[in-house]
Amino acid sequence: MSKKLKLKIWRGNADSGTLKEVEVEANEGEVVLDVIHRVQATQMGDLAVRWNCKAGKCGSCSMEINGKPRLACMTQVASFADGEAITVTPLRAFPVIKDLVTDVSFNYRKAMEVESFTPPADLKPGAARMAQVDVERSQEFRKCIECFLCQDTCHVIRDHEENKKSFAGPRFFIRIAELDMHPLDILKNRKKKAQAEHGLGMCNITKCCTEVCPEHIRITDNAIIPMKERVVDEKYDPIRWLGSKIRKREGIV
Amino acid sequence: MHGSNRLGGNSLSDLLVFGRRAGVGASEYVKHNQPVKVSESTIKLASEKIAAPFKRTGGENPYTLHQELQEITHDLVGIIRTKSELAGAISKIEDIRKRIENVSVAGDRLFNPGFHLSFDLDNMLLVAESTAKSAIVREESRGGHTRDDFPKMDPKWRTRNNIVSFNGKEVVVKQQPLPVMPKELFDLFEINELEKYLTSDELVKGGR
Repeated sequence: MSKKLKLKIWRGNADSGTLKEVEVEANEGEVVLDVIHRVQATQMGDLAVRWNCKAGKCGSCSMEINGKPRLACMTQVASFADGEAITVTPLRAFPVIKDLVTDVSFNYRKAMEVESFTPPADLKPGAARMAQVDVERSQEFRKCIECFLCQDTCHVIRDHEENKKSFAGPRFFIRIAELDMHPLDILKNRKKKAQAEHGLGMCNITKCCTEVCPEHIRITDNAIIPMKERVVDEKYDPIRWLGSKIRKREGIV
Repeated sequence: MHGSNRLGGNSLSDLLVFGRRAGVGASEYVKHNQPVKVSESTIKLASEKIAAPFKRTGGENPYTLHQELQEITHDLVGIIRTKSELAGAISKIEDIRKRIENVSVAGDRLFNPGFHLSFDLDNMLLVAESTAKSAIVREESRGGHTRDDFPKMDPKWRTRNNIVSFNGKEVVVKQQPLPVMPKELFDLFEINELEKYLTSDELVKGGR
């Protein structure tokens, strides 16, 4: 059973662009990426769209569908009302390369700024055992597919280009939280650095990142808020502050 | 490396083993050889060839050819194969090879999937033709290759490989004998496992 679908696709490049309206066939059970591919194959041969797995696991087909950051391969055409036009635009927080493809290298630069996993130098392979509870705690964050929808929706990045320098974004807060709770990681100042270098304090917990996450990672509740609490606990506790001055203890453990 | 092909599971070990061998080999080659000299005319020819689809208008749509090629290999060179279907596939692939000469694409070079497909098609065609032509000469069933008209494994096919090459016009298949399994490897297998694949002659030669 197929039907005609109205699709508005943003077409353009780094300089300018506009929405182009097309009519395309949509079959039962198809997702937005399927109809975009049909448009590409039949009407717009040079339409740029990034995609890979078509199964919601590679994080490539991130775009904005009716203004909402979504994976095109996981958005059912049937989830929109009959006759409703579907509008697809590139991720707004990142510079456009062409059509639906954006330059997400901001995220890779931020990834490099997070210090990598640091086990004790003398730890031999196979020598450590991790408790199941520790595995499970960080497992949630390891589900991240790096689609960067959370980065795109976060208003700290989305609406303020100037913040990109000092704000790493939700994807990297879960990365820091994951490393911070790893029992073998010996770096002691991850939370302090999250605050001082990665802009943790700029997040005002609107939970938009959690809402758009296709892996349903509770970014705000399980990573950002607990880190914020511990930062506040250390940073603004007068006795600990005094203690750190007297004993010169290095930062937040 | 795998003996009878086990499809999906092969890809990971293939890419790890042969990826490493290719990388090590390439780096050794570079150390012992001078940079390759490519003539200006060769470069010009190659860049003209790749840009040609932009100059044509109203030619073949690369997406249509891609889809047709997919349908041919899916329907005729699939899991269960027969001679007549494979022969049909080979002649249809030949037609597509003629048609890709006339592919045209719109737009410019920047992130243009239609343009990318226009030169990917060459390679897809090469793979499709190689698969179909090897499958039609291998008159037996083994691993991932199942011939409806030759349902049994044939021991003489175990001792040789199909080697495909492209002569500039079409894919040519020839057979190359496989090296005999070394004694130390032969001895590692259990006899009932070897019996599945080897003839009694080969078992005797191997000392079992």
